[in-house]
Amino acid sequence: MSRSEKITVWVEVKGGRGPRRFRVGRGCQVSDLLRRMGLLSEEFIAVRRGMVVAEFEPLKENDRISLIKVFSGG
Amino acid sequence: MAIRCDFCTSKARYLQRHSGAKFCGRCFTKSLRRRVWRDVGRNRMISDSRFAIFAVSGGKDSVACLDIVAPLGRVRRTQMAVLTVDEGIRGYREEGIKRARKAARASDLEFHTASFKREFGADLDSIVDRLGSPKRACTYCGVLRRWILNRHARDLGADRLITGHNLDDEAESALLNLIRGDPARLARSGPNYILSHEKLVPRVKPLRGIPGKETLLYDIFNRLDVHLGSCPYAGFDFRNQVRSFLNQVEEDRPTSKSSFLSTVDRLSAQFARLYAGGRLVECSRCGEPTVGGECKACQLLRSVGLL
Repeated sequence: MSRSEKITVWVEVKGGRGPRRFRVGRGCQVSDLLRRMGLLSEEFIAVRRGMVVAEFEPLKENDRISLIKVFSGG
Repeated sequence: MAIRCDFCTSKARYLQRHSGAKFCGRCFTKSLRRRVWRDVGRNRMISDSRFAIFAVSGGKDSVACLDIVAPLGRVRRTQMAVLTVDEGIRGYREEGIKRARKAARASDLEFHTASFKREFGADLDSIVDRLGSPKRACTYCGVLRRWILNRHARDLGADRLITGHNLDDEAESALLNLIRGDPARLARSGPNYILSHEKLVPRVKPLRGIPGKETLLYDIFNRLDVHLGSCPYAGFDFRNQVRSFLNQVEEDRPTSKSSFLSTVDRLSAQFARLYAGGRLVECSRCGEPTVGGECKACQLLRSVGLL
């Protein structure tokens, strides 16, 4: 298994548009994904199958990640 | 292999960037409660309170604050209740009020509501209509909400008003006050309440040292039902720009917000001595405490023809 091998993950920002598909390197972590999307880990919490995922957690093939915005405003 | 929590054998769910500690949900909850309880005790937030009111919007911070501090109040035999303000924002506020009521029930506390409509004769939506633009909605909302919270908390007989302001809110406000060049307001901020007028119910902020991300994590780990919707007027506030700036700085250098806030706290203690002569007086119209003449709430109401 090499980092150059690609996997598919689906990412949805809660309250935003539907899930978007990303091709990322195997071993890519949640923090790498956020960076690639131009988002700050300070501003989002990642959830997979209803459980919070730490930012050092590696993504798996066909993962569905929901991102909850910390600052909703109001 | 899964990375483990630093404090037990469960799977880690959160990396606290400023300390490097990894937490599972349970150990994170324990650690956060301990930190808040320590701050509440250290700053004597409710130690001599007979009746404390929680200002609960139904959002992530106020619901977490209620869940963490209410048990402490029960141990200390402090009478407590929940107060929610309905500003009147169609399609947004109703959901928050539902969550606030549910949180009060879960903590077995009496639930009170107050509304802009009942108090001022107009809700925030109609005030924005009168203004002709949503740009200053947050200014009106903030000032009028603080007025209502103080008036109702006092009418209910409370000697403390507990709010859910977190580290991010406080760092943003501190920077906003510096940018606006408002040292007098800075002098009135800080971790310790100052009883500056007999009609002003002292406000305390137990989550002042907790980042917003951690209050939301607490809600998720403890399955608290909170309202995460966005206020339709929030996008127009200058605070958003300040927030984005501080978040970017914190991302690059964790602990920035807390070091900034503790520096500002030290400055505000100095400012407090400089502005010690400025006592609060009663507003010439409504009688609420103000720095002089007519209070800000009355001025704003007059500007939109509600006085």
